[in-house]
Parts: sequence; structure tokens; C-alpha cells
Amino acid sequence: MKINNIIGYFITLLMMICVACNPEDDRLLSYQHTVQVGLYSAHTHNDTTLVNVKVWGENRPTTDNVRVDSLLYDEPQVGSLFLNLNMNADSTVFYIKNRTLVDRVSFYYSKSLESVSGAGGITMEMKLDTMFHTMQSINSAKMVHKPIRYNEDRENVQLFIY
Amino acid sequence: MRIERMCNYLYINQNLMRRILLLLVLCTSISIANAQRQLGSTMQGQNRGNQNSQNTNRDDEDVKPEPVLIVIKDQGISVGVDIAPIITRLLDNERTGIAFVGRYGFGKRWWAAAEAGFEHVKYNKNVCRQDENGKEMENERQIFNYKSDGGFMRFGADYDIYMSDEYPTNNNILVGFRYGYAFQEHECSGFEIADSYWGAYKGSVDRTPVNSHWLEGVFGLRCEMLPYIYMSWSFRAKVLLTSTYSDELKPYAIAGFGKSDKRVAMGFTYTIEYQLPTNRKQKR
Repeated sequence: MKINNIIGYFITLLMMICVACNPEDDRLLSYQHTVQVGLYSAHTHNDTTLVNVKVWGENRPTTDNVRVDSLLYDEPQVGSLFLNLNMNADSTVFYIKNRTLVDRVSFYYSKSLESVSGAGGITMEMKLDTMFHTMQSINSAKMVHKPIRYNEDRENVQLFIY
Repeated sequence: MRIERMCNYLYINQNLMRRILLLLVLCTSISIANAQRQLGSTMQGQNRGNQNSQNTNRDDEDVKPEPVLIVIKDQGISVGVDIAPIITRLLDNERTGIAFVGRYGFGKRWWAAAEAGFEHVKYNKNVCRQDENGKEMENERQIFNYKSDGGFMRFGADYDIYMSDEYPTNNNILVGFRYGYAFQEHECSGFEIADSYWGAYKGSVDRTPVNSHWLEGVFGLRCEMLPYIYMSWSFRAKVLLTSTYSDELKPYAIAGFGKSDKRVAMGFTYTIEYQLPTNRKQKR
């Protein structure tokens, strides 16, 4: 019996167990299906902020006939927005109120399911098709990255503000 | 930085990866040292045998020469089983699988290899995010019931980079490649994706087929533990070529390949093989 071989392979077996014990991807996948919106000045194309901003979604469902606060954002100042897309529809409309001006921004997208892991569960992978907006405070918009994936931290849309 | 990337591929933390690499180096060193020791013994045996033969010719014809071990490389067919999935099953009862291995040695250094197996994956998850008071939050429940059954085949060749024509042993350091093909069916009997703003998304996906093709690079050690009994391990670097599935559901794991969220995956095998005694020549 070659004792060195046995020792070597026993160590290897332990190593294999270590590999087999690798932890599952246990990310909580809530809020992963969001459009990341960057805010830019229409004049300088530099980063800008919205002041006294309120953002809410159109036709957001209420719970138990009780009107809950439907505001997604209610902040004195924001430099970027994370807008949850509605997984139960193919389009989602948001209202963005900047001081007293309100813009309507709508996103149209396709979607597919992706199973991430046993611990992480399943998530929705989306791809932006097109978007429309009014022009109260928004000068123009640009879709810079159409896929919306659960593990990506990338800006999807740039909004250029007057 | 490279270790960090490798950790991302394997979903393990860096400390564990460092320990694994240390163990790998240690194990490789022991295996190679053992093989070299065997070679040294063989050389000494041969030298002693030669010296004794010369002495016998010159001085004393009654002294018999010490036995000389000449090991001819095992060629021909060997069959075995990959026990890595079995160990995985003991640690993770949601994944079940087994793989069988066959190889045929031809030439002095080449092996044709074929592997086949199956894998069953089953996940049932039902968790809910809790607020500060430990109360379950509304629309924050995640449900995921997933099942996948499939088989896979791999074909390829290995090349023995360790073989010495002058002092052959039956230990091998193998590098090679594999082409892999997996056929499986998966389904999601029910899921719920949490969304506190728009409301949870619920649904299910019927059973659909998945076909996948990939290539593997292989590096491993193979060592004769007992006569005709081999144990070997190998690392596999896998590159997914294509995977066809329905648009509704992307597979979580591809049988024989691993997680499908990246095109590159790492794999590990630990096999026990039996060499069919068809072509062994030992002389003592």
C-alpha cells in the first residue's frame, strides 16, 4: 500500500469537500428589476440633481382598500433614480415631479425569467424596448444600456434636465 | 485579483480559495514526490539487479539476483465512477447525480476518454423578508419551486505529460480536453418574485427541454493505489458553447456543466477506476 498516495488523495478529498461546500448565492432579489436613471444637465451634460422631487407610478395597486403612500421618492434632492418596473405588465409609467413641474415617463420592455439559485430563487430579466417622456423639465432621454439584470449595477437611462 | 475572479466563478470566499490552492499544491507535491520515489526505487532495483547480474557472472554463480520490477504502462480499457457528485449529494441534498468514466489508452501517452452521467436538481424555497419587529413584510415573500432532470456525455482525450520512456510508472499527470453535451428537462411548478411597490409576480413554467454544448480543458493526476485500481482527480475549465432553452425560463444548472449564469465554469472530478487487466506486463 502506498501510504503517500493515500495521504495525498485524502487531502484531495478534503479539498473537494471544501469546493462542494461553497455557499449558495443568497442574495435577496427584491428591487433588482429597476431602471437605473442618471440625471444630467441638458446644457453641460454634467451630473445634476432634482430638487424637491416626488416620483410615483401610475396605477399602482392599493392594499386592502386602504390608500397607501404610493410615492417611490419624496426627497429634497436626488442625483439618480431607481425605478421599479412592473413585472405584471409590459410597460410602466412614472411621474417625476421636479419642484412644480411634472413629467410623465413611460418604459416599454420585454421580460424573461431566470433561475438564479436555490437560495436566490428566480428573478425577472428585462430588456428595455423604448421609452417616452413629456418635456416639462426633461429635455431629452437616452437609453444607454437596455438589459436590466439582477446582478448588474449599470446606468440604463440618462435623463437630460433643463 | 485573479483569485478574486476565480472566487466569483466558484462562489466561494477568498480565504477558502487560498486554503484550497494550498491543499492542491500540497497534494500535487505529495503525488509527484511519491511518483519520483517509485521511480527512484525502480532505478535502484534495476541498478542492483544489473550489479548483481555482473557479480553473478564474474564471481559467484549461486547468488541469485534481486528481483527487478519492470512496470509497463497500462494500456487498454479502464472503467470507473466519479464520486464527486456523490459527496456533493451528502452535503447538499438538493442535487443528486453520478457519473461514469471510461478510458482507453492508445500509443504511449494518449488516452481516449468518455464520461456519462445524470443530475437531478430540486429546489423548494419559501422565505419572507421580515421587518424590525420580526413580522413578515407584505409583498416580500419569495417562492421558488424548481426541478431539473438531465443526462450528459463528455468525449475527449488526455495526454500524459509525466511519462518517462526510460523509467515508466503507472502514475499519470494528464492534460486534455472534452466536448460535452447535456440534455435535460426543467420546470418551475410555482414561483413568486417579491415586489413591495407593484405587488408580487406569481406564475409557473411548464416542463421544457434544454440542450447544451460545451468544451472543457482538463488537468489532473491519476495514480495506481492498488494493482489495477486507480484514483484520480482533475480540474476542469469549462466554456459553454451553446445552450438552447425556452424564453420563459433560463436553466439554473446544466447537467455536467454547472451553473449556467456564466459562460465559463470550473469543475472538479474525483474518480475511482478499474483497469481491465488486458495488457499488463510485470516481471520480477
